[in-house]
Amino acid sequence: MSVCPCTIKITIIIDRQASETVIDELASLGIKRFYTESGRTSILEEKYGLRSFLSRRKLSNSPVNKITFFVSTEAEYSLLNHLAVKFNFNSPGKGTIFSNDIEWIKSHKLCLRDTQTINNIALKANAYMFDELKGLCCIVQRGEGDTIAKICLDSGAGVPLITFGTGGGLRDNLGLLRITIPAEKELVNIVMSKYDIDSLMEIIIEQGKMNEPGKGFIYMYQVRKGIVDTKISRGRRGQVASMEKVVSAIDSIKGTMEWRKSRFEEKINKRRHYFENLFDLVLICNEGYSVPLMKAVMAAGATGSTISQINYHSQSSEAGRIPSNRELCRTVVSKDQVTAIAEAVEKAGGFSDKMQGLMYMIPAPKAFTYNF
Amino acid sequence: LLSGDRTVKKEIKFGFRKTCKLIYQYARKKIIEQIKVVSVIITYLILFQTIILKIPLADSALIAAGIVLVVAGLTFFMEGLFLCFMPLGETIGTKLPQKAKLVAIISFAFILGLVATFAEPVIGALRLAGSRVTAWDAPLLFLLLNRYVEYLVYSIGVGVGVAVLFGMLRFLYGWSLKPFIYILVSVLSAISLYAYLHPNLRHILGLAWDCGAVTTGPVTVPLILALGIGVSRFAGKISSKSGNFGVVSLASLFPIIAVIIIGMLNLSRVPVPMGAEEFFSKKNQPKAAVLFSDLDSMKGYALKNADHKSQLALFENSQDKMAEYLEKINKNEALTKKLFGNREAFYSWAVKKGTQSQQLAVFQTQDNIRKAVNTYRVRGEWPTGFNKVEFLKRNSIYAVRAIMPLSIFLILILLLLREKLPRADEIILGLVFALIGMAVFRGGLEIGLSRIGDQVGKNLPAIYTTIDIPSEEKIIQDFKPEFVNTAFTAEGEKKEFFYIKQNEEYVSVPFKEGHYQKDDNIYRYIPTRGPLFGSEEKNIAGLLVVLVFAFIMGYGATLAEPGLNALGIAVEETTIGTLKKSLLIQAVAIGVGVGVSAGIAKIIWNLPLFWMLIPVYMLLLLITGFSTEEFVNIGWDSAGATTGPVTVPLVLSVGLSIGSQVGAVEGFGILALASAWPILSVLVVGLYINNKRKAMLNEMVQEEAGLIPGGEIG
Repeated sequence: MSVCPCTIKITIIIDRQASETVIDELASLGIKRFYTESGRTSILEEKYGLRSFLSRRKLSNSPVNKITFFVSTEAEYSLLNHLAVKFNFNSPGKGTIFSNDIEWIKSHKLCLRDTQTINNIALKANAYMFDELKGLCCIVQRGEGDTIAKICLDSGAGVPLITFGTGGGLRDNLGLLRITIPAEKELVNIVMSKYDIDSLMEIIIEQGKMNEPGKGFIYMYQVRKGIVDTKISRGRRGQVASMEKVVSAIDSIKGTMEWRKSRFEEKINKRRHYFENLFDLVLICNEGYSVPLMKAVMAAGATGSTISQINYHSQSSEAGRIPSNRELCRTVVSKDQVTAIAEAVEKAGGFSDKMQGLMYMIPAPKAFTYNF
Repeated sequence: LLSGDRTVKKEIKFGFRKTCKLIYQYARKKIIEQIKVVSVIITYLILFQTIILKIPLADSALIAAGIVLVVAGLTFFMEGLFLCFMPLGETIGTKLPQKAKLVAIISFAFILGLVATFAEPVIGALRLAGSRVTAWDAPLLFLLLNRYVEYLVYSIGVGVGVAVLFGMLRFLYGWSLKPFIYILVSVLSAISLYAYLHPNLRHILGLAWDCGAVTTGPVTVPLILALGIGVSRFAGKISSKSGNFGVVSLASLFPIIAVIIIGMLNLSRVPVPMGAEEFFSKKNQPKAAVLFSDLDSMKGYALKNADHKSQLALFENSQDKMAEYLEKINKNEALTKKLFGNREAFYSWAVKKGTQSQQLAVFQTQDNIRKAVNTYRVRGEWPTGFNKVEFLKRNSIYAVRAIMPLSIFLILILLLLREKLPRADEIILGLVFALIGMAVFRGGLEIGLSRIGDQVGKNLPAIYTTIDIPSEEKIIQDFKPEFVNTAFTAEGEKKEFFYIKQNEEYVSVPFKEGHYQKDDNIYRYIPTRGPLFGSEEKNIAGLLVVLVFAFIMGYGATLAEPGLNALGIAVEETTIGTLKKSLLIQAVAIGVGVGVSAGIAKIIWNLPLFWMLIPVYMLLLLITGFSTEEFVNIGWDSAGATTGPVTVPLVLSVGLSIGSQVGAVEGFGILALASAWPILSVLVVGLYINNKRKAMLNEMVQEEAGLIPGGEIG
């Protein structure tokens, strides 16, 4: 197995209108290959007076783009810092940026090229970057995303990103009876302080009724560093600065989010059976091939998968050799299943010129779903 | 679960009970969805009829069955759309640009537009709207709706074809929709103005604009949307998220131009509008004959629709010639069938519309006339017979026609592209669902929703005037002239009346000479209603109630439109939920409500359509300029997606019923208005949402700069 030197994945979540400028900036930095996926972020809208009669806190959605690309470890910090300063991620409401450690499993040769040559970045200013982050990904039925998003917002954890996907798993083995189970899913992603994440996961399981059959799947994944969006609400305020701004100022003074820890600790009471030490296995392939590939993955032991549609952008001269329409399949598995799955994908032609797959994984320390 | 279960799973077989449970849960969810969707309009119409108009619902058992069929049909049909048409459209949309050359894509798009138009039942609706159009008042319109109806359909088809073609080019090259709208609407306004000033073309304006509204129906809309999503996914640009929509908008603008053009081409053949007598005169006959396939049809048409003087004009002012011709019809079975459909209809016509001399010519003796009058006059207006076999056959053929050609065409294209059918079993199941759904849905509409719509429509004028209610007709046996009393008005006019007992009250009702049959001592008592609001005829209060009724009806019917629901789902899907289906549908429904009210107002006060439509479109052009590409696409598309199988019959039956009360020539224009206003409402919602987003960004900028002091902001 050859290993790509780019072992860091950087993710930027930003308002759709601002995403063009981010992409231009990335190009000028020398990052010419990246993926985009559309999604939405939700924040709370506080209502006062008569308008609050029906519901005081309503969700307000805005369209965002999720931009991801791979870089080497050396380039990670300067890039994160540069982008954070440039697009002012430290100011609440601007968006989210974070990096993950990834472990490459296998890849088609076109996908596994050299490291992206990053132009020299002069460190102008320092952004406050946090190390103590973790992410949660919650996969629920289409239409339930807002419920989970509201839980995240109400508990003050941060601003969630919601994207669409279609699920596979049990469904695909039912024959025509599969149409009775809707495949459309919503993926709710939130990156936040690692001190609170266990409590939030617990709250989501409890309030989102994830311990009931067919409700969904939730897992936690490792994040290296980044800045998260803390602007969880808008509306009338009584203070000089918004509470989010105060929180983010204290965060940056303390340099950690640990001080926020005690907020909902008391809510943890039950002992749940979590699946532990898993991996979020990601396979990106050309459009139309994810269904057969996921069948192979399931046959090799995985129990469920979610497919999202993403776009690949390449501004380098080899453009066109990898088509723009790609599909991203994720499945959460244990370490000892990985080799078998990789082999199955290889066998199914996943890394052929037709499908041009690439496969990597991110550690997922904890996962939960209804257990039979 | 995740631990060590590595046994390779093939097909899982559930037990019978588990399977049933899964299917039950699935069906329940889908049925509840559709019940929610149709409940508004059905409850509203029933309550309006029984509580406001206080007229019991006729044929209620049949209507109840119809409602069940509508719900079941919609459930199947929508599921069929999602399983079959949308995936098929999307697959072709992504594969075609990859594998085919530009010429092939363009031809495909054009043919798709044509095939889709022939599948949609456009003409039925248009003919209904024009059912009261007379050959002499609007010759060109009459020609297009009758003898040249094929040309009309072809021109609409070409219009839709060109629209789909440009739509595909737009996606491939990432063109904005705005210039298309600016150019098309300007051209349309200009030729509409020209047409409006022309005596003959003026009458086809309504037809043309209505064509735009009705062409894209519940099969075409989802298909075109899915195709668009597919193609723009292929073209995939970061910022072109809006580019999934817009074809439906083009498909409702191009046909308008096509119809006006076909009108202009035929202009020189038809006579100018004139009085009926002049129209049928010997001098005008060669020109008038163009409107009919032969002289017999023309004579039949005149007998059925023109007044006596004009009929005589056609027979060179000779009573004898007319009598001779009537006898010929009577003897010649084929001719009777051709002109009247069947013998009963012919006799019924003679009894109800014929003059003394015409009746004599048909029935030969006075005695026969008296017998015929007894048979054909006493019988109620509408035979309510319901032929099950015919009903099944009609709706099945309809469904096959609407769905099969399109799906066969699409599957052929996939085969030509050497693509496998993705999830073939699902697609075939979806096709079956769509077929069953369409047939059941249409059947349900016919015996359920349309029936309520017809009844409410017919009785609606009771709001502002007095109407008869033939469905409550009662035959009073042994009626004697002694029962009749006489009263005098303040002006000294004599009025005759008699008493009847209604519940516990004794009510006086006017005596009508024509309803009394001396020989059998029978009196046909037809109860009357109204005016329910205000006291005089056509008072403002009553008419306002009618407009409010029209608004709510338009609103409720729109919620149930399958095409719009498909658009809503596609919008929610492509905007990743930032624009919710429910918000879009509410905005569109309110727009349609306003549009239907405007259309009814047009008919009541006989306002010129041009002045009701063009200002709205001018305003739309202005707002389009301010709106984002995303909302321009979605807003203009909703215009084409709204007027479908639920709205059209309801709106037309109300429009025509009001129209016949106030003596309007045609019922055109309501549909055009009902599809113009929703664009406006969606664009306004779009502006509101964008302003909110901007305000949010501004708030952040100001906060950053420390500009916001403590206290309130917006």
